Amino acid sequence: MLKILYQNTNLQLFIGLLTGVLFGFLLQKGGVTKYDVIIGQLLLTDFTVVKIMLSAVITGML
Amino acid sequence: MEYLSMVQWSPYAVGIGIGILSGIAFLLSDKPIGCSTAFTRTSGMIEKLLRGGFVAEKAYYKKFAPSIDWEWMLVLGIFIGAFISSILSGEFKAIWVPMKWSDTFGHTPILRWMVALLGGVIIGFGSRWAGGCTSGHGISGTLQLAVSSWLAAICFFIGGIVTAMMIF
Repeated sequence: MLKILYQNTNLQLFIGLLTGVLFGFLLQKGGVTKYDVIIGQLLLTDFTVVKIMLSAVITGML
Repeated sequence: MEYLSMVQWSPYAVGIGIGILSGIAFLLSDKPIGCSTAFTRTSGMIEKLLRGGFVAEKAYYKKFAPSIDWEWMLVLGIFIGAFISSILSGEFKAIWVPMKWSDTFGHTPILRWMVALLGGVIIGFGSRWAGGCTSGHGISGTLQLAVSSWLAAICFFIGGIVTAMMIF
């Protein structure tokens, strides 16, 4: 069944767009679209980026 | 509904959301969430537009055909999603020079633009060289426990931290 889904090009493009919208929404809500948050991570004063990445990785692994 | 207009969510909640989203993307599309290949394809499309169809014959563009695909739509969606989110929380604004930057380097936009452009070129080069960016390697690769991705993600942070410490 999933094979048929993978072959439907237009539907796949739509799923891609939808995934992107959700991903962008989450990134913005997480604050990682902000310059200060990114720089704060690299200066080791704000660990938001690492918290998001690690919780995403741990969830995704399951 | 209040959640939608909040300025910031807990980073753990966002992370779990991204993890689940990645799982859904693998299931429904058999694709990892990643962005940098879409930029390669776009550069191919631009080159094709300016220099003609023979561009598509290049070995690199045979591997990464210059056309709109799943990942390209994903990148488009990221812009839309982030835009919706920032509008809902009333945070949307266009800033030429971020605060942190102007504290150290002053308010001149030109310098900021030049450095941002240079940074973009280096990121583009590096992510193609490594075969992934912060999302492709850092999230989609590491959650599959790919050794190359863990190495890449650790090096992203080492490089970023050293550079940030040097310039600020």
